[in-house]
Amino acid sequence: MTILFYIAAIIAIISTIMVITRTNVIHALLYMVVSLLATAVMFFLIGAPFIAALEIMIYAGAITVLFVFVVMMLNLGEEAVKQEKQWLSFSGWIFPAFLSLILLLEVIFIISSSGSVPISGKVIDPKLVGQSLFTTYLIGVELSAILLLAGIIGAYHLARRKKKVVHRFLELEGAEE
Amino acid sequence: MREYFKNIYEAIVTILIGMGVTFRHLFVPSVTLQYPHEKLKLPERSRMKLFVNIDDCIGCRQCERACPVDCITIDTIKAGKDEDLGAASNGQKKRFHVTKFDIDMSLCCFCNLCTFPCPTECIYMTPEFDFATYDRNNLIYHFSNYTPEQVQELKEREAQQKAALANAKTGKKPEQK
Amino acid sequence: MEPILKLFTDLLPGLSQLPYWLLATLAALIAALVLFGFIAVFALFAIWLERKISAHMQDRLGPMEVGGWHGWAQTIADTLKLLMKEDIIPEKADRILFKLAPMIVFSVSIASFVVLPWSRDFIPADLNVGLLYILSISSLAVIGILMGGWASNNKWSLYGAMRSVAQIVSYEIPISLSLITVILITGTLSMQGIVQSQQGNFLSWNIFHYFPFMFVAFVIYFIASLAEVNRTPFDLPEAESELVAGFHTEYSGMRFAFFFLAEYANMFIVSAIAATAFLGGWLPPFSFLDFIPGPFWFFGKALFLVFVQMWLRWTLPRLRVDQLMYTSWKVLTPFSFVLILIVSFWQLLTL
Repeated sequence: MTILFYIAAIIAIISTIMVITRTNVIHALLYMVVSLLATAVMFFLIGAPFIAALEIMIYAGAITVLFVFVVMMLNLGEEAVKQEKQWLSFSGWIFPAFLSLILLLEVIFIISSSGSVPISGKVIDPKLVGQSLFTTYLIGVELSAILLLAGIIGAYHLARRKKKVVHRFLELEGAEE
Repeated sequence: MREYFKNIYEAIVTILIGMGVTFRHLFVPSVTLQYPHEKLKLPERSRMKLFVNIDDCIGCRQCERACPVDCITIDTIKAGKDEDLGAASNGQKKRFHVTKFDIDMSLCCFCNLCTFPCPTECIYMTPEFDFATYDRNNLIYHFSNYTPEQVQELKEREAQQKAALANAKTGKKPEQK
Repeated sequence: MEPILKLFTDLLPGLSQLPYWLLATLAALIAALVLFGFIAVFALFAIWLERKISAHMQDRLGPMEVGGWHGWAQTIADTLKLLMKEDIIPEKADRILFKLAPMIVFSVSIASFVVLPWSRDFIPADLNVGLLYILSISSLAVIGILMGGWASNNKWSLYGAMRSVAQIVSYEIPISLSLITVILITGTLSMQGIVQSQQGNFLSWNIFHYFPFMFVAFVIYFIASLAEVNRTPFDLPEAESELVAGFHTEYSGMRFAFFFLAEYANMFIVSAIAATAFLGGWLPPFSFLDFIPGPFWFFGKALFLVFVQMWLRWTLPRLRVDQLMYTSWKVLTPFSFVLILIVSFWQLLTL
């Protein structure tokens, strides 16, 4: 069990590094799909199959597709690749990487000092997830529903076709449109 | 609103009607003719491959002149005064040896113009259409039935006659002076 | 998986000494090879069947020559021809993505075969989120199609890929919603659980539950699944007359064969899911018929639905892309929302 977890974790880390270092945007997005799939495998391993399947469906199946759509519409050419290479120079990433390294060392210290817990592998049934969502975490569900409703109304408003205002004398002519 | 439901209802009903039609047609026997095993019988006077009944040909070369694409090649040698070549089926006496009667079917445009001038109707169109071959030279049809030796003999006789005529002319010339 | 492992250890007792992970991997490999063989043979059969059905619906004969009886070997001949074709990759195409796209689309199709319940014992992996797994894996096919369209460096392929992706993503919603009505009734996401809850004669199948609402759910699921597999009337992405074969324009030979194979495998999968969720899976319609083994019923129901899909293809004209979007968002989605409400209220009131 643990070796599967380590394999999935290494794949996730490597593919995420590839995401941020690729200059071709489509390649970067596809590496992100790999990283998300590795995360889903890890979810499966710790006993949350419902979340794993939902993550593939929503993240890799919808959000990444949205990114890929936007990138394909933008049609970035060769200049974008050159610009990316320019921005990814050594002086660009060395300082953020140094700060992140400090954070990483802190996290490793915290995890290792609290004792390792083996992966229990107890599978959480979707029924339990549903029950806890609608009893313990009900507020979260309702708030996210309201947020999604706001999103839907915004999308409807943006995509609405404005009604053409016709003068009442012109209306009587029986125009077809 | 009513239109919305009416549209849905009409869509479903028409799809079901269409599906009924197609399903009924599953049981209609097919109208395909399996070509090499079953062939469609063409009417008798269909304008397909040309045929020459060489026994009736009087060597008038009218068909050669009528052909718009020059696909007919005819070579004739005049029969001698005492030679009897027989008669064509309509009673006309044959005065020429038809030593070569080639029709190039790959050139023929099936216009039927060669059949009208023929006095004995020995060239006509048959309903045979599947005469494709692997070698283009096999599409040149040789209708004459003179063997090469006969042709050679006739040609030598003609050459001799011509020489004799030429000699006779040059012989006569000093007398005319 | 356990029944398969038991089958193997019964056949070859020496195998039980191997460590569990090795045994499980071997069993999984063999099951995967069997499934892949089934998919290949089914695709060959389905292509032949489609040509014959379309021919007879149009009063003609279809393939008759190759193989003697009604041309059954025609698809084998076509596959050999496709194998021998020149493998053309456009010069400006992204080579890695171009080669990877058919593989992703095809592997996603095969990955969905893992949770199909063929009979009480033979199901390669009885996940307790089986139905959700299939939905999530089928949304990965979208990535493969986008890659195929983009990597071809051809604007028709890109349009075809975009339209196909928009179509698949839009129609995922009615599919998920109509399957939610099934889950509401059954109470479990596991495929075997769904089949087991339809025990009894054919009137206890989910399609006849809460009549006529589950029937409407079945119809909505069927229409939406037609769009998922890019079949007519929703085959604008691969329409020959509109987009020069859409996203698989630049693919020739074996790569095109992969896309084609994936399409027919997808047809089988959505029919199989419909058979499992609505028509009772491997259960016979009458309980006295259960001497006929389960896989026969399962395959028969799925094949019947595949036949209906082919029947629809040769009946209906193609929908335009805005009509397609209208159908999904303004007809199927509201209807499936209303259905969920009705089914849940009915279930609550009769609890």
